Amino acid sequence: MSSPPKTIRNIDVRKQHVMSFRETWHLCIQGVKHRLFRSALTLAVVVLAVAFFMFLLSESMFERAVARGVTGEDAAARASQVLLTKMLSPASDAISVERLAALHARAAADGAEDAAAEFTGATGFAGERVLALAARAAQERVYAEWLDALPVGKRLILVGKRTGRAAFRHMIENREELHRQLGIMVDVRVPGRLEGLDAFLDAFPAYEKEMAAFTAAWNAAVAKADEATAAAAGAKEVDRWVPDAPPDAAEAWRASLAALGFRFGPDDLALMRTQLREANEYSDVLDALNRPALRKEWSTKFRETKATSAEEKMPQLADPRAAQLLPQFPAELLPRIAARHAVAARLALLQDRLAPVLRAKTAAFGLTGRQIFLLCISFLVCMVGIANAMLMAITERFREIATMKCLGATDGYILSQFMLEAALQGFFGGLLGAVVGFVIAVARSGLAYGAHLWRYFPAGEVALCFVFSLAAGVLLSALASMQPSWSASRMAPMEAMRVE
Amino acid sequence: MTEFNEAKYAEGREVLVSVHDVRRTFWRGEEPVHALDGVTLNIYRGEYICVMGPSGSGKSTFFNAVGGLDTPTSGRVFIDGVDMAQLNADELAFLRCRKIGYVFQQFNLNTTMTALDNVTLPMVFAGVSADESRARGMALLERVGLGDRWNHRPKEMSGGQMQRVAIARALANNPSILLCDEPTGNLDLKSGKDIHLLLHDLNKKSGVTVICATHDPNMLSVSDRMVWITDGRIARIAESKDVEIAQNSLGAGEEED
Ligand SMILES: Nc1ncnc2c1ncn2[C@@H]1O[C@H](COP(=O)(O)OP(=O)(O)O)[C@@H](O)[C@H]1O
Ligand SMILES: [Mg+2]
Repeated sequence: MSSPPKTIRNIDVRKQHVMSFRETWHLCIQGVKHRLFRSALTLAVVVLAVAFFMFLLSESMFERAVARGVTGEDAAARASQVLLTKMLSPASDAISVERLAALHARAAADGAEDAAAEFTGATGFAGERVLALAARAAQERVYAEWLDALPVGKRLILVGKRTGRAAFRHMIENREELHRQLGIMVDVRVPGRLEGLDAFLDAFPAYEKEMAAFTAAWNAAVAKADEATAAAAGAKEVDRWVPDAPPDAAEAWRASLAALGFRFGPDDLALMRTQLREANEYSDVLDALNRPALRKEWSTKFRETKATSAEEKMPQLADPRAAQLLPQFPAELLPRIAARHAVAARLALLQDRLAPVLRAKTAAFGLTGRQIFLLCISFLVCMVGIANAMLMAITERFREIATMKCLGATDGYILSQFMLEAALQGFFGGLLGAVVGFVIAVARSGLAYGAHLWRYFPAGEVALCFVFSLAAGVLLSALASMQPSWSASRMAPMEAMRVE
Repeated sequence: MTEFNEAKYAEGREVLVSVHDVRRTFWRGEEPVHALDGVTLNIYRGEYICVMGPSGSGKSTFFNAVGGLDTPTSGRVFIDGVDMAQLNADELAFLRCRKIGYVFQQFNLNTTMTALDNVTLPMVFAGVSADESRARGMALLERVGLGDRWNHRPKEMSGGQMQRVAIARALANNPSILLCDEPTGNLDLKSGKDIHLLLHDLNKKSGVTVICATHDPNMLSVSDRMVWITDGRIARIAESKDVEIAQNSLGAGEEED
């Protein structure tokens, strides 16, 4: 028998050719075209997982969008009342602080100058002056809230039983004591640190004076506006007079208020007229329904229902019998009020139901901790499902892998081919899953919110969710296939070949 | 029966594969199975060698050891003077890609690919350009008599045709060795014969070394040399011309049952 060769020749065994991405992609696609539907199981798992993910994500987006929308929806309707009140009723310092603090918040968000203009006209205070005052007002609110939130015992020590501005004045007068006490209360956190509080207290007397001047200026303007209104409306209540007044009289009234420095344009007037008219109609009908004589007649006419309050009777206004009971109103008005009432009731219901959504603490992406937890769980379930499906798919193809290795495929090529395949499956599964999840979310939210969903449809966010879900599908599949692909790629061909 | 004389046989021949005291032990629970139990063999360039033996005798294990598909428990395998145990995964891939062509009993074609794509796959792994591999693939398919079938998929072909595609694929990168593990095991008699003749033809005309594991005695007529393995050991080596008579009787015996 022979012995091994004595001299070992170094023939050309080099490193194997590294497949380019193009080559890998090409081979992969060739297989995928045929396998895509055979690997339906993997695909189904991906679809299911991504659908669940997309559903959770879009539903919470819809919920927030509708919640935000409905909260603002009747703001316009209330705006005319607010505007009237603002122009025609005198303000106190407290009200000024409230308004200026709100201005300060808005100024931070939008254009500062423009926001200040609503006060500069009537008060004669320049824009920067209003803004400076607004900044101080915001500070006052911060420190007042801080004092309110302190434990009672500590508050007693710091300011006694004083509240509001009296508390500030007390702190100014007893500054040394304040510093000493705050030095002891190590767990009390002062907004803006002690320096901030000191600066605020230093500026407080001047600020208080300025605020008083502001309120006085405002009230002087309001008194003049009152006069102008009284001249225009005569004895009539202003919110009755505004919708019914002849157009040129209303316009003259508006112009006189605008001349006094109130930001009150023709559009505001038009809006105010329709809104006040509707509000008046509504309250007239409500009054009529509340009259005892009518209540009795109503219950005999509408025997079949047990509506007791005027609110409950609103939907019945659409009924022709209601017109007989309320002949003083034009016939077409009652159904209109019923319809408006239905819309408002639905809005109120949604606002009520969705208020917690806006108040809820959001951890990230507008999702609450609970939702994120759910998403994580769904992710984990997806991972396990996809990993299992991938493992099966790869085990099935051991022979193919072994053959490819015999033909010269490197471990790296096998790994990248299988991960690429998984990512492709993840992409198509993700696409399908995102559509399915989206459709389910739309169906469910559509049932819950109706037209409000379309009005406040968060198209941009949904597009983002789509991208997210797709990425999740691709990533999950690639990650889940990593381990099985890795071990398959490392197997000796003989090992894999044996599996019949 | 003449005794095989290695020294005389080796005269004027060049060793291509050298298997030295190779053992491969599998563990069936606590109990060791010695699939290869000290096999030492030289295979010469241009030779057509048949590895015979009953099922379970260790032919496939030998095939795997020579082809670099498995690592022996002990012993060494040299191909063209290169110690297989010294190669890393990448170099092994290089070797499998260009030095050795594999033909399996189950054909192991990629069922989603056409015949041509199957044949050019090893060229893709070797980094051959698409145009060149296409031309070479067509030539190889013509060589095995399937030039008009290049666009067929495995399921549209007979077993014999699939095995021809597999042979063409094994030859893709001009290997010096063609390793066949029972290439006719899944074929009918007629197709099996055709495959033998094809392998014989390739061996004689292209000079590729053929190592063929089989228990099909019909293979004997085309081979230069035969090695019998039983229970993981080489039981006998003989040149075919010396066993002509015995083969005929063996063939007759096979056909009876
Ligand atoms: N991976 C393995 N694990 C355990 N036993 C094996 C393995 N591969 C082969 N064997 C055993 O080794 C022996 C030889 O097998 P094999 O080489 O496949 O024989 P042949 O190809 O000649 O039919 C058999 O007894 C078989 O059961
Ligand atoms: Mg075998």
